[in-house]
Amino acid sequence: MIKVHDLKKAYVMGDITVRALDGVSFEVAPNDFVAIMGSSGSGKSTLLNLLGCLDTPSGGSYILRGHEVSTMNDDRLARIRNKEIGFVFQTFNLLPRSSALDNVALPLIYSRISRDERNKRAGKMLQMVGLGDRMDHRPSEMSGGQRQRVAVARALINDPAIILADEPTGNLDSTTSKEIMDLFVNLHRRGNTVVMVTHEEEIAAYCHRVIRMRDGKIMTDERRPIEEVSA
Amino acid sequence: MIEWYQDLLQAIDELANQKLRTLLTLLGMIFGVGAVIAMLSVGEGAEREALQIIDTMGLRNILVKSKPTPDDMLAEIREESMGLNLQDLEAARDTLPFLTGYTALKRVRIYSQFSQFGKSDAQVLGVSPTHFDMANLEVAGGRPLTQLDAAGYAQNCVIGPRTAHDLFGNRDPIGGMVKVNHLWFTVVGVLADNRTEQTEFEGVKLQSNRNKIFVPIETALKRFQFKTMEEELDEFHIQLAEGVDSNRAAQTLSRLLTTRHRGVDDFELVVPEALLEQHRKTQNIFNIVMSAIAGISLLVGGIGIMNIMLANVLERTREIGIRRAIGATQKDIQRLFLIEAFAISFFGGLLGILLGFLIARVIAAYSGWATAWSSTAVVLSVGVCAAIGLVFGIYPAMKAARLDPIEALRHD
Ligand SMILES: Nc1ncnc2c1ncn2[C@@H]1O[C@H](COP(=O)(O)OP(=O)(O)O)[C@@H](O)[C@H]1O
Ligand SMILES: [Mg+2]
Repeated sequence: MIKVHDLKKAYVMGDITVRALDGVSFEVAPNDFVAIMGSSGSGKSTLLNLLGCLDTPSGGSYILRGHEVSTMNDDRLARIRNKEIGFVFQTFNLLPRSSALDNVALPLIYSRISRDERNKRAGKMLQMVGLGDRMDHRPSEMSGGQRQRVAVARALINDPAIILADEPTGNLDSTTSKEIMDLFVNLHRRGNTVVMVTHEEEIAAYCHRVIRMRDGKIMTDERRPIEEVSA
Repeated sequence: MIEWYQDLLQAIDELANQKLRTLLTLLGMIFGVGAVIAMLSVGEGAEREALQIIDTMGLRNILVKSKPTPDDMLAEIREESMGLNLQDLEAARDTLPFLTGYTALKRVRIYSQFSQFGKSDAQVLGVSPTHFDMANLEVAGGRPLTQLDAAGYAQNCVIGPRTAHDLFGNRDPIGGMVKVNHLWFTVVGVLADNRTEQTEFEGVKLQSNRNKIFVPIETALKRFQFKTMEEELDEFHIQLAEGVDSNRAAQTLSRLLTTRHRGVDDFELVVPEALLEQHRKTQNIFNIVMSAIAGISLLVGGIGIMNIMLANVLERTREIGIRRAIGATQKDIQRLFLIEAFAISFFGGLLGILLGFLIARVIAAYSGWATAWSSTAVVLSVGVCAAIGLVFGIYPAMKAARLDPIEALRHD
């Protein structure tokens, strides 16, 4: 599904070069449930942004479903973000003046899907994340957990190959975090591929593979038998 | 292609959210468009009125008018010149072979004028039967004077609408009798009411036909009394064939008459075509000045739009990041903001058009100038506004489109 080889990202600021990602190689198989861990500044977000095609690497290769992504132009990247990837952010990143339904339907606008179809699918998706009764609410009228559910619904709306989440529970209390993680576990059970960044062990414990990073490099990459994964 | 109305709805929503700011930035554009619309409707009104006035003079006509001569010099002058007379007209017809018509006019001095039902102070004018055609006088009831009236020195007349009212009230004037000085005339026709209220056009005095009595000039010259040494005609008009240069014809005519009058300056020529030309020149200057003002306002308006859009892009950086992250291309973002700029300027244009019509109304009410609805003006303004929205919106839209998605997401 994902094949990353010697992926690099360097930021040049004046005469210092920050190697945010310094030669990372790994693969993600279909239906993997991966946690990327590491201390702050270790390059987790940089990696996830590259995987999410939000950014382009300074070196190395990234093959997503057999296609080399690192050399694609902006329009093709936008298409991949739209169709192949569902991104969930720590800060939810919903449009503040749009309803939950409109927020969830937003990616479909860029898939050139008709309004009726958009609303139908967004409604279903909201129902799936348990917000069938909050469709007309704006983000400001919802709790953090509800907002993140909306964001997850939006990430899922185009039936993406992979779901990427950058500290999806980072802004939530522990009870709500558990609810959101249950949502991800469910997605994984239904066959979705999930890669999530976190620095909390309790969150990583939901996943069956943990990649630990330090200074832009992968330190360890270990799989755990499914039985060990906390429910 | 994304349904553009989706972006448009979003844009309208965005504008509604910032009514005051939008309105303030739009002021330049609103006034610019308002000025254009007001200018064009005043111009259009003036143009229509000019054409109407020229129509009553006859665009293909040359008018020869006698100039008043001071009484104390009359005897002296008459040794050289007889004043405007029928022989002048004959000579003009001989010299200018391309005339298609002519009419002679003589004012009759009035001391009494009444009918069975009322009195009138109308001007009595002897004219050739062709006069009605040449001056585009429309007869609303009855008939104009004819060659038969002229040949038979008939005591028939055509009267203006106001005269008809003065003499006959609401009765049908056709067939009624009017006594002018010592003579009875039968009313055979009434003129239509033309609405021009102007008393002057490009320096030439205009006379309304509302309060007039037209009689055959033959009858007038034969039956009425005139002062000794009074010139025979007050005016004569000649009509030029299609394609004849009226200025050149006027020059020839002027030379001929100057010779015939032995250099005495007792007549003047009015060339309606030249007047119209003159009118259009002044109108053009007016238009150019107003266009410059409007252009500057629109430029200011455009810069205002650019300004508001740049602020918009900055404020909505995060939103841009979100849209990009879920699959919007640079083009999608560009279109979003371009449509918004377009919507603002279109809206500004509409308000400007309203303001323009309001200004035109006020001008019409206070100055008495004619103003007219100009659909060209509306289409033009809307077009110009749309163009301004696009031109000044493109830079902010491109700026928005080129934002780095990650940077944009991190904004705030
Ligand atoms: N746009 C940027 N410009 C310069 N340095 C950056 C930029 N983004 C990230 N970095 C640097 O790259 C390193 C990795 O950052 P990041 O991937 O955000 O870490 P993490 O998400 O693991 O906390 C950090 O040292 C950070 O300062
Ligand atoms: Mg991070």
